[in-house]
Amino acid sequence: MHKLAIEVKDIKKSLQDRDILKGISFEVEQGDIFGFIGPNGAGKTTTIRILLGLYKYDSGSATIMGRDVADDEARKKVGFVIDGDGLYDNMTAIANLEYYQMIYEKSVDKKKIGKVLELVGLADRARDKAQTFSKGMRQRLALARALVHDPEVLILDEPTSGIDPSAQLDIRKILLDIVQNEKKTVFFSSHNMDEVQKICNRIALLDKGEIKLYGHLDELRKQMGKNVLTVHTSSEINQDNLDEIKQKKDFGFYKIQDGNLLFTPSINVKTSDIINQLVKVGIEVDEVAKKESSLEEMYNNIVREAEDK
Amino acid sequence: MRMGPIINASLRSIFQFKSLIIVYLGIVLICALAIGLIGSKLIIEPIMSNGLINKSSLSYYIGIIGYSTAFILTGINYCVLFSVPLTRDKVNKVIESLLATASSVKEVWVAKSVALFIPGLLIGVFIPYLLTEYFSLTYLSSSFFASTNIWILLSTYLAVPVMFFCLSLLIHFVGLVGNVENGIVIASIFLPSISALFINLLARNVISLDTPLFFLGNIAIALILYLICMANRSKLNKEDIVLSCQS
Repeated sequence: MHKLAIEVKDIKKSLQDRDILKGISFEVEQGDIFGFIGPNGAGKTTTIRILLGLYKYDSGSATIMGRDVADDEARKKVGFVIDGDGLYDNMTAIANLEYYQMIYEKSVDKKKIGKVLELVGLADRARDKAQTFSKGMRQRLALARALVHDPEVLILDEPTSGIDPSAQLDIRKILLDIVQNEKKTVFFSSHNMDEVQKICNRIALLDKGEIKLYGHLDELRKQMGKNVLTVHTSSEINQDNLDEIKQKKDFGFYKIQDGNLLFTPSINVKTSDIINQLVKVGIEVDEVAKKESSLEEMYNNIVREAEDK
Repeated sequence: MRMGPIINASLRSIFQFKSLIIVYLGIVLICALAIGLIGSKLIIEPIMSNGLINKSSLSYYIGIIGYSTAFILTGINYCVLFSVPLTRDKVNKVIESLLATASSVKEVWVAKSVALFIPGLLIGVFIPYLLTEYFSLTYLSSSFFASTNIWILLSTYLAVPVMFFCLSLLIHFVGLVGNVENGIVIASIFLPSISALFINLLARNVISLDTPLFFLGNIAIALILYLICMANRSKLNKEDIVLSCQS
């Protein structure tokens, strides 16, 4: 059984008479790269601030490595990157890291500092002041700061926001490296579905203070994802055939495009069911292609459904 | 103990603003010269010219100059060096980052208050010391510390720093939980109003600097400032500080 790094149970939080979190629950297992996604104003940053002990929750419970998030001992086990990095501009990269080692009541460990700077690719800029760094370099330094006291869990609030694609790629590589080689747990929020899809094994989608989607990415795809089935045919399709196919609502036929019939079938419908039906009505099937729906499509569907309500 | 690193970093934060430091030192110099000149030309020399003054009275007046210098120079620190570094720390999420570590709100509050207090303390002790020694050696031909009353020394070198440390606690309290501007307003009102009050009381001989009562009056003001903080301490929490950083 996997041990839990983060456990959030039915957390509610209001700020200035507005319900920000309406009873959210999720678990992050040790060794996970957990993606916390959602649109602006969904409550991601509020959740992260609760996990970092910056906000008190109104009800429910939240623990990190078995300790309440308000407990100082829990925070010693956490490294973080918050929006706006919080680095001292007038200090060098090394001085920033030394400072945070001291803040965590650890003695200055130059070897560890060297190692994390190496890990984030800033070893050659170690003696430069943070104010001379680009946004991407600052994010990497913030990541180094998150690691410098050797925490077990990393909580990162949009660590790749506002930086260029190559710097985003660097950060993703570093995160994967941290999980694989340093055996840390990573919890990170992002708007970038592509990024989450690439590195996370588990996700939670937050919208309007509620978790709309939560679990292993692969399982979620199976549950939620409406795969797109493309059937190529050389037969001529008449209206009678189309009407007959449309009657089968589960098949999810939605359009003809470049001589292809496009379906978004329900989970219980097999590809062979559709093919058999097409053959039955006299449509010859030349080729079939199936495309898994992306996280972005799932995300858009859920957010759109919520907006429609 | 996390206070040491936070004080150190806060001091570095203050001293990174070179122009602010130059302005501060400039004001300190102007004030020290003005007080010295006023003390010399308008208080001591007219008294000396009467030929009626005794050594103990002269020492008392030098003490008033020393106290006034300590009060004003320590206080200027809060008006000049308080707001810019704290605003920057709040906007750049330095405060939020600190609070997300195992540092407590109290540690951050006290450490930041101590950091701002240190430059004022150094200036507020060093310059009055130089000034009183100069006047004492010039007009009394002896060290001020040898000729003065213990209550004058305690008021100048203990009560004034204690009072301004409590002011530092109060303005940081207000600056962390609410707007930094409110803190600067308090400092800007406190310095002229309390210094005018005390200097007037002393100059008009309503209260005497060389008495325990004056010393206790200073300590009472420090206590009031501290009690204001304590009465509102429930407001000094991470959530309110982080929310104030957003606004």
